Amino acid sequence: MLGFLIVTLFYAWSLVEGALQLLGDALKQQRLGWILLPYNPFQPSIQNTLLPPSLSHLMGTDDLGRDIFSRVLYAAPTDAFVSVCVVAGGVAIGALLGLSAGFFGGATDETNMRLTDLFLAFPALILALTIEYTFGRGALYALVAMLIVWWPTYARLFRAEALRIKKMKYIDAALLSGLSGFEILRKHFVRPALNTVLSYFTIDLGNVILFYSVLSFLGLGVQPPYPEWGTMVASGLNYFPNWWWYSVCPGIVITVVVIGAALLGDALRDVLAGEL
Amino acid sequence: MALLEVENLSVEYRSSSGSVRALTKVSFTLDEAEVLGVVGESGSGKSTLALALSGLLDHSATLRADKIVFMGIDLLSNIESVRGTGVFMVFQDPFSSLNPLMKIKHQIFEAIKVRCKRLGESFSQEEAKKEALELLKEVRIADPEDVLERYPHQLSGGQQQRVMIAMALAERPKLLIADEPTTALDVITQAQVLSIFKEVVKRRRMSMIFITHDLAVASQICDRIIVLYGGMIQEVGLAEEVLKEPKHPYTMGLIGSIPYKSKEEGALTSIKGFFSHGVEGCVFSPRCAFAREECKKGVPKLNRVNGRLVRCINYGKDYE
Amino acid sequence: MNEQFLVVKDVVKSFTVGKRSLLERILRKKVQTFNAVDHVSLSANKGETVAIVGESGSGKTTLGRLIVGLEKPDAGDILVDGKRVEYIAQRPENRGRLQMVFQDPSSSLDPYMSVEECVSEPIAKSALKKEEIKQKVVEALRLTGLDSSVLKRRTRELSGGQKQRVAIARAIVSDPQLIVLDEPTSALDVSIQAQILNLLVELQKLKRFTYVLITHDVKVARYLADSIAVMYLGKLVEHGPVKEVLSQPLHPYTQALIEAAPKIGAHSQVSVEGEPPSFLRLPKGCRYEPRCKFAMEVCKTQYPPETFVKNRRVWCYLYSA
Repeated sequence: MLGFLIVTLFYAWSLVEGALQLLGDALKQQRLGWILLPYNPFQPSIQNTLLPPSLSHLMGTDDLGRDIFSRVLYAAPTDAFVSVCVVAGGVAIGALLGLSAGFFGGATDETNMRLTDLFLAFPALILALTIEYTFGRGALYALVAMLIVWWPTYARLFRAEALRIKKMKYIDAALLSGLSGFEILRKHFVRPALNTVLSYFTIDLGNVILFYSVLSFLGLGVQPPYPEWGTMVASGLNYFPNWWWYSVCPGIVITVVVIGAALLGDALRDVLAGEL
Repeated sequence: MALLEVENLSVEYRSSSGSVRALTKVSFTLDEAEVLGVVGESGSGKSTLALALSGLLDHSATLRADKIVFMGIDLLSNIESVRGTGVFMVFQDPFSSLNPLMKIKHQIFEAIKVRCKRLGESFSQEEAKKEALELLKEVRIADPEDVLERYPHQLSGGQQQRVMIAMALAERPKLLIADEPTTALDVITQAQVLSIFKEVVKRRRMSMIFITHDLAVASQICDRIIVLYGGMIQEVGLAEEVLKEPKHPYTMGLIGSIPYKSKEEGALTSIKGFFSHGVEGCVFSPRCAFAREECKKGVPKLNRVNGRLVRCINYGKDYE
Repeated sequence: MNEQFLVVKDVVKSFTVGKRSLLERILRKKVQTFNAVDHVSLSANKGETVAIVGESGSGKTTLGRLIVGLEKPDAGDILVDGKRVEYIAQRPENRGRLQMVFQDPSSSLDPYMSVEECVSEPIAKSALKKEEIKQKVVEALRLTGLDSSVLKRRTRELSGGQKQRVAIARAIVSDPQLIVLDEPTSALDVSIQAQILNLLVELQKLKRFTYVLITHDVKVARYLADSIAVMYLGKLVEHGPVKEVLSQPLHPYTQALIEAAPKIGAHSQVSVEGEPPSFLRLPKGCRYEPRCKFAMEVCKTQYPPETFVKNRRVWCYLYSA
C-alpha cells in the first residue's frame, strides 16, 4: 500500500510538473515550469547560500542559494520520464525478441538470443561514456544508453515465459484450430507474460531511476543548471558533512522513490500470485 | 500391541481466505507387517494423512488428535520427532525426491549413515557399499554396480522409484508410508514395483500405509482398506471383503465406475457431480444414489457392521 | 475392411538426441536420431474407435500427434477421408477438421481465458457471424453436459472433470472428422473418469466421430475401442478387434501387459523382468526379445514380419510361417 502511494504521488506530480515544463518551453514562458514550486529553482541568491532546512526552505539551500526542495520537485519529471521510457522500451523490445525466440525456436531463437547476449555484454557505464564522448553529453544520450543496456534482461525473461507457455497443451489446441504463429502469440502469450513480468518491471522503475541518478552523479546525464537528483547529490558531496542537507535531502528522495517502487512490485507479485 | 494407533486425528489448513478441514476425526490402528490401504480421490485428504503421519505437514496446518502412538512412543506432543523413529515415506514422483547432483551410491550412503546414527551403529564405507549393492538387488535392479555410479537423470522412472525404495529400506523402517508410489509408472513397471513391496513387507516384517486412488492397485497389496472422502473415513474393513462387497455408497460407486466391459454392453455406472466443500450433513450425500432426508441432518457415526466400519445412515441412526 | 477412413501408411518419425547449437547446424555435424514411430501402418473405419496402447516410449503419443497433424512424418502418409493430413492445418478448409483432447485438463485450457473464448477458438476464424459462433459454442457445451452458465467463467475456476468437458466441447465445436484422445481420463478422479467415458461414447453415437484413443490403460481401451493396436518401442506388435485381442492376446508383450494390469479380486502376474532398452541401443531383431519368455534364436536376427492370424495382425516369429 505504501509503495503504491509513493509511486502514484511521484508519477502524478511528475506528470503535472512535466506538462507545465513542456508547455513553458513551447510558449517560451519558462515561469510556467515553477509556478507550483515554492521558489524559482534556477534563481541564485547570494544571501541565502547553504541555509539549513527550515520552514521556509524545507530542504535548505545549495551553494548558489537555490532552494533545494524546489529543485528536487523540478527534477522529478526527468527521472519519471526516463524510468517510463527505459522500462517501457525495454519491455517492448524484450517482448518482441524474447517471445518470438521462445515460441518459434530454431533460427529465430538462436539469432535473437545471440543478439541479446551481445547487448547484455555491454557494461552500461562504458556504453554511456562511449556514447557521450561520441555525441556529447546530455540527458537524452544517457537515456539512449540505458535503453540499449536495459532491454536484454527483458528479452531473457520473456523467452523463459514463452518456453513455459509453449509446453502447454492449449497451444497445441490453438495450432489445431488453425491460428497463425503471431495470432497465438498475441492471444496466449502476451497476457500471461506481462503478468509475470509486471512485478519485475515495477521494481525496475526504481532501478532505472537509481541508475540514471548514478549516471547523472558521474556527470553523464542531465547537465547543469538543470537539476537532477543524482547531480544534486554529487554537487552536495563537496559540502558534506557540514552542509549535509545538500546531498542528503535529494538522496533521501531517491531512496524513498526506489523503495516505493520495490514495495509496489512486491505487493503486485503477491496479488498476482493469489489470483493465479 | 498395535504398531501405530491413531485416534481422532484432524488437520486444518489456514489461509487468507479462511480455513479448510482436510481431515476430520480419523482413527485407525496398524499392526506389525500389515499393509493398510488408504483409498481416496482428490479432496479426500489422503495426502494430508500421509504428511501428518510423517511429520511433514506445513506450518500453516494445525494438527489435533486424541492419540498418536507409534511403537509405544507418544508422538502427539511433537509429531515431527516421528522422523527419527523409523517411519519413512516414499512419494509419487521419485525424480523430485532424489538429489540430481549426487550419485546414487552417495545418496544410499547418506540413508545408511542416518540409520547408523539412529541405531548407534558405526558407519564404514566398505560395509555401506556392500549393503547398497544388497539393497539394489533386493529391489531387483539390474546391473547394481553400474546404477550405483549413475546420477538420477540417467535412470528410468521405474529405476528411480526402486532406488527410492532401496533408500527407504536402508533406514530399516518399521513403517513405510507410500503416497501413490506407482501412479507415475508404466503398467508393467507398476506390477514389478508392487511385487517388490509385497516381498519386502513379508521379508522384513515391515508395516505399510499405502495411499492410492486406484482400487485395483490397492487390492493387490493391501490387507485392510480405509476409504476416505471429504477428509473422513467412510468405510474400513478387510481389503478382500470391502472390494468384493462394498457397503458404503461411495465405495460402491467407486468400484462400479471402473471400466470392466465394452461400450456395447451399456454405459458405465458413475458417481454424479463432483466433490465440493461445505456440505450440510453427510459430505457424500449430494452425490449419493441412496440419499435420504436424514442424510442432511448430520454426519453419520461410523457403524460396526460384520467386522466392517461404515459411515452411512443406512446402517445406523446415530450422528456425530 | 473396405473404405478406410483413417489410413496410416508406413509412417516414420525420428527425433534427434539432444539439441544442436547454431555452430553444429552450420557445420552440418551428424547427429544421433531415433525413430519414435518406426514404419507403422494401420487403418480404421469411420465412426469407430481405434485404441493405440503402449507404455511410455512406445511412440503412441507421437503417432497420435502425427495423425492429427501436430507433427510431420519423415516418411509415409496419413490420410483421413482420402485427404492427406497437413502438418498443422493452415488452410481454411482444414481448420478444425482434426482435433485432439489432451491428458491434463489443467494445461489444455488457457487459464486466462473464459470458457466461451476457449471453446470458440476452433471456429473463431471461420466465416460465421458472432451469434452463430456463440450458438455453436453453447450447443457444444450442452452436448458435453455443461450449461451456458459456465460461458463467462475463467477456465481455472473449474474442476478437473468440468475442464475436461470444456476441452471435449472445444474439440467437437468445429465438427471434426477425427478426434485423437490422448489419455483423456488418466488425470481425472476415478469417479469422474466413468462420466467422461460415457460422454465420449454418447458423442460418438450421436455424431459418428472417429476416435483415435491413446492410452496405457487396457480397461479404458476395452470399454471405448473397437480395435486395438499395441505398440512397443516405436513398432506395432499386434493389431486387431479389441475383444479378441484382449481375451486371447497373441503377442507375448500384449500378454504381459494384460497380465500386469491390476484387477480387483485377481492377483496381477508380472512375468516380465527388467525394462525396455533405450532407443539408442535397440536390438537388431525383435525389440521385445530380451524380455520375452518365448524368445528363440530367429528372434534376434530381424524384426518379425507382419503375419495375419484370423482377422488380426501380429509381428511375432511364434506365428510366422
